[in-house]
Amino acid sequence: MIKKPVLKARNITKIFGKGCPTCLDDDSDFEGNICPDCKSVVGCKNISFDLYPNEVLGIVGESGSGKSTLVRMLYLDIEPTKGEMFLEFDGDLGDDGFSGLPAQAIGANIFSAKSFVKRHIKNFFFGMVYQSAQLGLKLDVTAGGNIVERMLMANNRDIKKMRARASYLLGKTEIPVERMDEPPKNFSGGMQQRVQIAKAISNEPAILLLDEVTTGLDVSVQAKVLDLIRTLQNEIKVSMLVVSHDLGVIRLLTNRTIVMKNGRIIESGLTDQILEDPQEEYTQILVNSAL
Amino acid sequence: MNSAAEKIDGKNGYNFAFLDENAKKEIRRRILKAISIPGYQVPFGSRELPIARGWGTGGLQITLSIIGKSDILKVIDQGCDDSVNAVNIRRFIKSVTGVEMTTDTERATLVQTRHRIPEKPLTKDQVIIFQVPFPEPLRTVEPSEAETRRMHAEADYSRMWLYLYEDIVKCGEISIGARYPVFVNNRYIMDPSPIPRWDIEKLNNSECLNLFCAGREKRIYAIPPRTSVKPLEFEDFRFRIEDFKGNKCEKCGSANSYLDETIDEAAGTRHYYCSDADYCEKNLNNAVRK
Ligand SMILES: Nc1ncnc2c1ncn2[C@@H]1O[C@H](COP(=O)(O)OP(=O)(O)OP(=O)(O)O)[C@@H](O)[C@H]1O
Ligand SMILES: [Mg+2]
Ligand SMILES: [Zn+2]
Repeated sequence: MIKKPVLKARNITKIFGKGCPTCLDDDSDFEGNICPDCKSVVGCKNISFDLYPNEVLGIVGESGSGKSTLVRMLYLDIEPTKGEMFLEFDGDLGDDGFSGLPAQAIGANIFSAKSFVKRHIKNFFFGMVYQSAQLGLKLDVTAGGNIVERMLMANNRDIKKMRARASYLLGKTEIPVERMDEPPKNFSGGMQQRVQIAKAISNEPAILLLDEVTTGLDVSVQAKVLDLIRTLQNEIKVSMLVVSHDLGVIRLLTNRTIVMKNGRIIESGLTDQILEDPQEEYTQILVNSAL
Repeated sequence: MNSAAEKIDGKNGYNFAFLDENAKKEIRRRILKAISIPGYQVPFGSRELPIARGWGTGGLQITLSIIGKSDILKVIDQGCDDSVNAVNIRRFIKSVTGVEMTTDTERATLVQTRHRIPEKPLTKDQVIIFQVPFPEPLRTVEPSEAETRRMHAEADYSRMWLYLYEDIVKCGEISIGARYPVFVNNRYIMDPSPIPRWDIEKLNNSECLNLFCAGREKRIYAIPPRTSVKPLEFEDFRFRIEDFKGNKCEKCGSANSYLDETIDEAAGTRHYYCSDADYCEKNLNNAVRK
């Protein structure tokens, strides 16, 4: 049985600046990520791809190639200049029924949905782990509170139950449960990332977005975080988008990979194939420099 | 209440009830809007009054906009009719309207209040007007006005809930005393003004109309009669009213009213009296008669 994609991205473009026909036209082509005519920065251009249920899709590319811009558009943090995103979900709903899609979102371009639909999708359909914990956590609010917040959004009003779930998730991410009532500003970088992950999965999202989860962490801590993500992928049915410029991370976690350069997709395919036999010169350089 | 005939018949050379008819009309329009969206804060153009802002100018503007010649007004400050603040407001309203004043809760058609709701339940023929210092219940968790408006519009209240959760983690209970946030009509979170938790349940399904006004922050909001008002609470951490631990009013003996605690420094003793002066007096008179 061929499964339907859980997420379809279609011709997503983000121009930082006023934009002009040259950079906005889907068919236009120019070198680099600065529009030759209006000098706007092209964050992403004409990005289309599908994400399938339970799939782990990688996005690689050099610094500035538009990876974070893309993920933040998908997570509805920033608005695309143009393009569409469609979501589909036919799995089981979570206990609270909240991981499902609101009726208004089915078959519709999410980017032009009403703000409450967007917020629902952001809170219940996606989980996001940001490159920096500062963006993903309230560092002054307790670790438990950070996780509980998403359950509060789902109208959970039972403190005991929410705390039990938060401590279960902290256990899973190997944060000592005794530190649940401490603010993450007291934690190490690796611990903060694991609190972010615990928070992101607390509502059993359909899609987990991971933007450079291991960047800036010690190698031993990196290994722990990656292990955790792999375990989660096996345990909970979740599709993942893993953004990294570390090909080791991509190799370890993903089945399929997209290669980005200057805001565009230049190559995509099975991760093994891309790493063994890159077609584009840019990818060859990426792969070779990583060895 | 106000009618066209009362227009010119003001005291001391002012228009009746001090405000000009256009100002009153605007405020009444805002009140109608507030009544039709229970708990929603309606902005209005606050007027200058010969009383400093922060001393009940919000409540006063509502009172002046809806008062008519046949109204009977009661003004209380923390339950008390004789505080300087209450006396000043009463004197001012008397001088610009000439309407009858009372301390008797049952006789009043309008009650303007700061920090309390009378113990005696108000009826459908009464209107209570609250003086509000801080109308925005979400300000504790969000400094930006644009953002709190968005949160209200989308009923995005998880940060308020998170604040209560953190409070429980730190204090073992919700430590908010006065200004306890409530859900109005299962839709908007509202600041009930600094009334004690004791008074919150009087707002739920009340027979009377409840009007709230912040003069400094220029906001009017309302709870119409028979509207659901629920304090924010968790399933396992319920909202609780103040506990007077079995103490009774030392004047009237009531065990069913909100008590003010006073400490006699010299003797080192605590004393308890009804905060609602009119209730206490009536209770005392009844006891004497029996
Ligand atoms: N708010 C913004 N205003 C202007 N330009 C921006 C903005 N955000 C991103 N850009 C530009 O868009 C391009 C893509 O940035 P992005 O952060 O998406 O790259 P990235 O692939 O995530 O890089 P890295 O690997 O360093 O995280 C860069 O040229 C960046 O300077
Ligand atoms: Mg990035
Ligand atoms: Zn008494």
